[in-house]
Amino acid sequence: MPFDRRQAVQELAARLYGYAMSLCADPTLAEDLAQETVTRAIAARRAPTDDAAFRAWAFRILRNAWIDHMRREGRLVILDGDDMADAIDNHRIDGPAIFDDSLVNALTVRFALARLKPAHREIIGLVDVAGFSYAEAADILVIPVGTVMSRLSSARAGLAKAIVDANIVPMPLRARRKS
Amino acid sequence: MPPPTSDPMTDRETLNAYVDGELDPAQAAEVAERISRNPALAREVATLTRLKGAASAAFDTSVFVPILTEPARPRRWRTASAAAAAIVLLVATGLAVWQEDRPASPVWLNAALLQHDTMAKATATDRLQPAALAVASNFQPFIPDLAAARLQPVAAVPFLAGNGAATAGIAIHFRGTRGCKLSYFAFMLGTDETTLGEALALLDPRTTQGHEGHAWRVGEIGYVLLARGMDTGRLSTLAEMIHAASRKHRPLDEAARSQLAQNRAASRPCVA
Repeated sequence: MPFDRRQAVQELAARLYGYAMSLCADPTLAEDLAQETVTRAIAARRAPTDDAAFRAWAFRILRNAWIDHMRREGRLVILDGDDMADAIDNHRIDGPAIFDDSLVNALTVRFALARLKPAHREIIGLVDVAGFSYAEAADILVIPVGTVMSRLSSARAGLAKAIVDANIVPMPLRARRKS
Repeated sequence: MPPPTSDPMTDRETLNAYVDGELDPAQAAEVAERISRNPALAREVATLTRLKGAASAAFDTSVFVPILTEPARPRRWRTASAAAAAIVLLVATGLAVWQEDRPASPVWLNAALLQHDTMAKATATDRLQPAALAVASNFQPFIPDLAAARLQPVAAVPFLAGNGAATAGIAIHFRGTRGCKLSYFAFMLGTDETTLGEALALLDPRTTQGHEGHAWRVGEIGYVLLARGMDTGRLSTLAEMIHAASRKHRPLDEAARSQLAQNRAASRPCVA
């Protein structure tokens, strides 16, 4: 059965958007980046014709589109290199001491993600949001799998810290009353 | 926090790989065996699992519907004279400008719409929480008490109105007793933000995806009030009262509270 590029792009759309949201935390920009990727992927004269290679190729288009956007905005993006490790990298993630499961909702995580370094947002975007394996993420980022592992563990430690730093406290919903 | 481990089977990267299902069966079994003997490791793995799950559910990716049409390729003119003739014709007929009939939405509005929908869908079991925010010291937003309108705050969460922490703010979600869901946003405006004025503005319905809303600014803080299916007159009155109070940065006075109560009594229940 011949490779259907349109179908492949459509199946990737949600993951592309999730990855874009991880990168930029801006729904409008994420939509623009994802749509630009879709358009370029469909219009390209040549594209990979096996699923895995096509996925990596499409995500690299989005990544480059984001870097181009940031450059146009005059903002420096550092997505490569692991010299960005900071204090959290040397520590373990503690269990309940870090945060309580019930305190984590989607909005909290979105806010915490937005506070991470770009490379950490990106690796969480690829592995957790877009659902790539380590090998696939390594292929998209053109880095060794070992680097994916170290970057991801640093990113998750950073995410846990950002959630804790949000200083979240529970506020129970009030029961509804009929009037 | 516990110190880093020297056991390669329980170092942080291996535990992450275990959570991600990236270890081969023998390695995974070894890690599982260590976890079963070590409560601290078990807690760490549980936390990593929760983090992974929370990150994977952080964004509603269904909102993106791609346009799958191939872009039109630029036409090539057969001859230079044909191009020149066409340009003359365009100028002559005044067709040089194409305007999109739907205005662009500012970034803060798209962010607010998305967050309102998220909060409006939440149920009590989702346990929306308030959060103290790490924002600029001059971020001291006006937060209204809408009890007179029988609208109770059920959540206060961080709100990111644009790129970066400089646009951080807060979103407060109110619920009424007759199905009304109202979201109130206060956020830092960029210095070049020109889409919000000090006067109360009714949001252009072409940009609000079926919601109704009002927006304004007070100094460097932008405010947005959003609802869907609320009585238009009621929402307008709420916006007017909150707008006036935010400019004074004082609680709603007795007259305003009375007006909100009367307004609620006279309005229809929300339909969304």
